[in-house]
Amino acid sequence: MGEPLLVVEDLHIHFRTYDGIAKVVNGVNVEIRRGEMVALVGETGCGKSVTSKAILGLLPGPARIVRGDIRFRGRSLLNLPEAEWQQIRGAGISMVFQDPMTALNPVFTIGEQLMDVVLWQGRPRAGWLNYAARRFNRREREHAREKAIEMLRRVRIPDPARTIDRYPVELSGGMRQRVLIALALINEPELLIADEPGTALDVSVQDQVLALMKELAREQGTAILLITHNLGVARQVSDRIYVMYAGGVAETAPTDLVFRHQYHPYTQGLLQSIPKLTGQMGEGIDGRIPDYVNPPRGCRFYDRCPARLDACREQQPPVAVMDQGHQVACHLYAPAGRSERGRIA
Amino acid sequence: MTQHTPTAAGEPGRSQVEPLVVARGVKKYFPITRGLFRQQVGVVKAVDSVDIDIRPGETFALVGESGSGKTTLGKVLARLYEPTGGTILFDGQDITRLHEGELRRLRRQIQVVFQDPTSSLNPRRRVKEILEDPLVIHGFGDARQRAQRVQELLDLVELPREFLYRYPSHLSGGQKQRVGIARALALEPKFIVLDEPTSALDVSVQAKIVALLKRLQTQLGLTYLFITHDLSLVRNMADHVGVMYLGRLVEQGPARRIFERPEHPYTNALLSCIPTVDEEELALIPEKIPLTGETPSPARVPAGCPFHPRCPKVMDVCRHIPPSFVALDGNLRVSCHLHSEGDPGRGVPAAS
Repeated sequence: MGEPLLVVEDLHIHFRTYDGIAKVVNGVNVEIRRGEMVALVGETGCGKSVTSKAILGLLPGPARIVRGDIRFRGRSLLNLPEAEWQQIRGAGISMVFQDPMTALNPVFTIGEQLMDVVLWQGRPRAGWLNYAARRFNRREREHAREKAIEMLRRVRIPDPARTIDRYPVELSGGMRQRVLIALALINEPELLIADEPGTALDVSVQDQVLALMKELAREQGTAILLITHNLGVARQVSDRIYVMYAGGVAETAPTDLVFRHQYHPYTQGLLQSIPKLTGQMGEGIDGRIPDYVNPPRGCRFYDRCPARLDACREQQPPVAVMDQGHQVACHLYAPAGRSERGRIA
Repeated sequence: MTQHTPTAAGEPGRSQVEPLVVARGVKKYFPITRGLFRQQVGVVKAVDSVDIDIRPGETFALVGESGSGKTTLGKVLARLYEPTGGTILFDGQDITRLHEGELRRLRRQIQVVFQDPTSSLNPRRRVKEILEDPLVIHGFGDARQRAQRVQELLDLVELPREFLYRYPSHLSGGQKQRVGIARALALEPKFIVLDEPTSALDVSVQAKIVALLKRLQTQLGLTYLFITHDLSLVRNMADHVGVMYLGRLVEQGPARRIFERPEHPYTNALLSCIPTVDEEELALIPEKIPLTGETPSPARVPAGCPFHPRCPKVMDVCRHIPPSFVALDGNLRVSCHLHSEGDPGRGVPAAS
């Protein structure tokens, strides 16, 4: 099958804070194949958004990748010069942000923002002469406009030829979310990172938006990395799920297997906590996520785990490979004496 | 795992208990003004002609999407807003129009827990002061009695006593919401409006808070108005459910009845797009009804049935005549022309 589209390998990200170094992401491994829908699921502070930002090279100032690698199409993205990033962002990897109210620029029309992407994204920054040539090239602009209208039609925005000249404030939340999807997909990227798409919207609208995003991505063969806290949403969209806890991957498996059987006590607790239509709802998980400045030496779930062992306090959990690509980072499933290297791959 | 069993209040015997809160034809309109002289150019009908009965000891859930008026209705029933029209009875007393002193006395009976625990707690006050405030304002005992009450409150919401001297910024989201709940309980109210109390929290914490709220309800005999957009949560919390759309209640009835056989196309559509996590749950979801479009602005409510532009089962009559409430089996009341008998549009008005 060859090298996957994206490989995140043993990623460690530290943040400088006033209290010390916060070890936020602690050995994350993720693989995404071409056209695959992958979900990173976890609760607040588990590191899922930081991981996704690292993939796009958008980490904030205090954050540093201290170990590990991120490879896209077999090439490392670490220490890439800005000019090369510009050829990847928007063309190779693009992103749909969470809040449709703030992710669009309010002073440009939808069309101007879409056309900018068509005209400029995926190209290295050009000199101003080059810029002017393209900026005022009528044929190229008309072509970009047509492409933008076509994209708006594909995300099912009513009357795209007129909507293209509207400003974001004139559109509803659901429409803006569609525009964001249009922006992300217009250059047919190979990977789309979607950070909690539609979470700010009502369920009936979120449902439409997710279905649309999945459908369009399938059509053009774009892989999706979905970042979400909602296991139900992950189930709807993804082929494979990575459950994250406190900066690491606790469990990963093809989506239907995760829902059939959960091995990690955290995944079990998380799934039970979700209120269900059958009228069942678990008691939740005690405690809170650990301090990242002084994280526990062993398993980061130790304090909250109902099934903890002595080994969990001192040793980081090994990865146990269960069945059919189901992997879990937990001492419960590692036979004593068999030490395994690394974390979930 | 616990199976939620509705209390007696949700069952047929319900009608024999005197309701604690009775609202009839409640309206809350906000004016839209424009220009230098704040000339009124329109009106937002945030809540329009709502009838509700809430029985003591039950949880009444108000469900709806953003802009449906559920929070406004909650605030009107808690008398944080004065209604534009209609009447509200609380414990037999008319609380529709009250002056300041009477309102203050009412606050001891009705309390609110807000959505976002981070912005509803003063960041510059310690937990002890936050919990003591309502006691001081309402003249509860002397300093020693107050201190004792504050400790009782912390015990009630299962927070350790060392939290007394902490600031909200040192607490986790779930702990902050526990403080919010303790503050609401301080004056021993009968009725608590819970406005999306868990929607800012992670699910593993939400489950803890929900369990706490249920325990407090049985222990203290509280009545809840639970405002939320999460239908799966409603299934686990509520005895009675009211579904709101554009300021109107479109369907209300016992939780079990609504979840088993929803009658309004909107309720049906809402249920059909809940993301599910297991097969058993999926089996309870009605056939997928894709809703087109979004909720229109409450300043421009469509004529006739407000839901008609998005309704998959729209009929001609829906565009012109607003439906009235029809009573169906199992204590369900629905406002939809599909269920009006005989001459649609003039359905059998439900006995209230």
